[in-house]
Amino acid sequence: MDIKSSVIKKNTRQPNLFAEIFKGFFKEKIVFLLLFLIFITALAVVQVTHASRQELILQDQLLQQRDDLDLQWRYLLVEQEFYAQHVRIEEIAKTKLQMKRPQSKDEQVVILP
Amino acid sequence: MRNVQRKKIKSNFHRGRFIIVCFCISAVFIGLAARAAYIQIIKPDLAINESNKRTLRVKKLHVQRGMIFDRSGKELAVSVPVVSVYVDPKALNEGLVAKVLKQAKKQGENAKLLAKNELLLAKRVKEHYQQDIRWQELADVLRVKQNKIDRRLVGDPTKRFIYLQRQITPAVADYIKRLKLPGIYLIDESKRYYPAGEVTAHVLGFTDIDGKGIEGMEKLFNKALTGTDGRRTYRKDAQGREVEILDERERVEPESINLSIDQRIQAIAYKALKSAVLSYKATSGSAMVVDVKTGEILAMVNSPSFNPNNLSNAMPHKRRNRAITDLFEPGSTVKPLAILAGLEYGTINDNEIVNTSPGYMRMGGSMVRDPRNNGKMTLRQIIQKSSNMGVAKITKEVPKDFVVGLYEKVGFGEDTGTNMIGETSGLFTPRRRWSDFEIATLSFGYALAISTAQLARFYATLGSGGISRPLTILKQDEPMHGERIMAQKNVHAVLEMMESVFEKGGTAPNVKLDGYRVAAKTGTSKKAIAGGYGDEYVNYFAGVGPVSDPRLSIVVMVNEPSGDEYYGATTTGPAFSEIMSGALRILNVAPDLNTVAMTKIGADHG
Repeated sequence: MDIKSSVIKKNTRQPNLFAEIFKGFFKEKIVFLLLFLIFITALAVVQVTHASRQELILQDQLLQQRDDLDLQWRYLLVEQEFYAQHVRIEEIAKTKLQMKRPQSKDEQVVILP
Repeated sequence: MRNVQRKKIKSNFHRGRFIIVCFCISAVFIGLAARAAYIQIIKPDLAINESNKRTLRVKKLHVQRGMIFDRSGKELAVSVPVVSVYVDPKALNEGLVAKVLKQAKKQGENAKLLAKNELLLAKRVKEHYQQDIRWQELADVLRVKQNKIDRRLVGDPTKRFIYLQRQITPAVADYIKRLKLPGIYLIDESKRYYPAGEVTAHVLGFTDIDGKGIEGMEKLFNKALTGTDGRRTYRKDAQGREVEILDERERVEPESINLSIDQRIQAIAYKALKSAVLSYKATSGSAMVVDVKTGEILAMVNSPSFNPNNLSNAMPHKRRNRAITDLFEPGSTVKPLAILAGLEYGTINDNEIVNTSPGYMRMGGSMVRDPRNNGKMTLRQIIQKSSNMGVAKITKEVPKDFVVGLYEKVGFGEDTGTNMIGETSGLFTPRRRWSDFEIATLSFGYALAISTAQLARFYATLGSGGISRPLTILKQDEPMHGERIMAQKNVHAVLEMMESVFEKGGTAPNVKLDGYRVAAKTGTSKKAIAGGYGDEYVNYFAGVGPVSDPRLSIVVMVNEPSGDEYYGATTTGPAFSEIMSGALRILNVAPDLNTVAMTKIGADHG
């Protein structure tokens, strides 16, 4: 009763509501702590959800990038295979570079001991 | 006193008003709660659907068909992603109508009246379609004539699906996407690309346009090469980014296939065979290279071939993998086997002299003859001159069951073990009554028909010193399990006899072998036609090399050469020698012919 009476304004019997609630908080320490924790975890949930979404977006981008690179790689592979065709290389070696297949008389076999 | 005053203040409290206010306020709240409950509990699907429509997306995760590699990891078949364009004529028409009506409204016309006037509407739609330059751009980028594409696009607006073009490149697809045309859609597909083209066409086979293997390796390993598409269900945010994955089915990546083919040898073999077939105007030809130590097929080529990347020119006769499907009588190439039959049974030994005089022999009403009387011949000479009389006389002394059994053991009459599509097991029925003459014809390669692959397997058996292995087209870590069917001593003796073919007086004296000792046998067999033998020939050149430590078995077959030359040595010899020395060099096999200069390092000759 004495606490209640203390917050009553001097010239009126009406209690100061804000002060009353504020005081009440500190009185129930555990409840206050829990309330505080709820706030923190709520914010944390928001934060984590946001972070996970960012990660997901990034993952999606990376997966997309992987598929794009795979596509590019396949086209490059085909291109490389085109230039690396046996017939084409032989043609260039023979005509442009004047190369020829070695005959046995040009060969020197080295036998290791 | 105070109490009295208060009562006085309270006196303007109207009970009726209070009840009405209470009722109204609670009615509002109850109404809200009821509506919420209705949406949330009684009919939640509607709201969920609306939300899903805006945020839920399903994405297909495409998986490309597996690759096929040669033995050194060179890509022989690659799937590349391509895009197909299709049109939904109904959606296209609706899109055009909507545009026309919108325009009409803008210009202050009565849109509703226009919508009812079908004739006018159709005219307007047509005008609008023709004015829109984007449709021309579409035709240009697809390289189709405008009037041709028009028919597909606006020809029949009741249709729902028409392909405009299949398998265009992603760049073109991107351009079409940016045109933002109504009713035009793109679907991701993949196209099979074969970098080696016609060189590997028969072995690899090909897929149909939907990526299903329908020939060759593609068909044989279709299951392994095909993966499973995955799908991901996710929520997107306003910017279209994925924010929550609801369900994901991972895609199953396909396996890749490693063939035993060596692309370098395959290319050499194809080139040599093609030039042989072309220069002797032959109907067809096949060549095979087999590693005798493992049973792996290093090359399998046929001519004529086709371009698997563009099947428009691939007639059925070009598509056939002749090396395994086509049967011919092997002719003289099986003569070494007849001599081996004698050696194995023990009726003759290495130094046997066979009297072939007078060069012909009557057997059960038919004649066995040589082109000339060769008189007394050693076994080496029989091989060298390819004497029919010689081998016929040898097999005559051996029990029939033994001869036929040996022919069966080397794999004539069963498939070679590759499991390839369309492989034949040949025409050879061991379990029947064989007449004396038939045994004689068997000894020089008639009365049975085998494929090039079967002949290559027989020569691989010779190369491995008598161990018969099934052939394989897949790269092996360990040699195929083999079974010894002939004594090593006898096989070696015959191999050395077969070297004489290249000597002066042999059947292939003009075939130059570069650097390696090679044991080979030519074959020229007449083709059987209805009622006897015709004028066409089949030419063979089969051999193993190098003789000192055999590594490769090579068979070259040319069918129906139509030039003046029809002897095996002339038509197939150059190709054989080119493939043999080229392949052995690629495999880094040391030359064993003494024309090659040798240097010993570390030896004490200083």
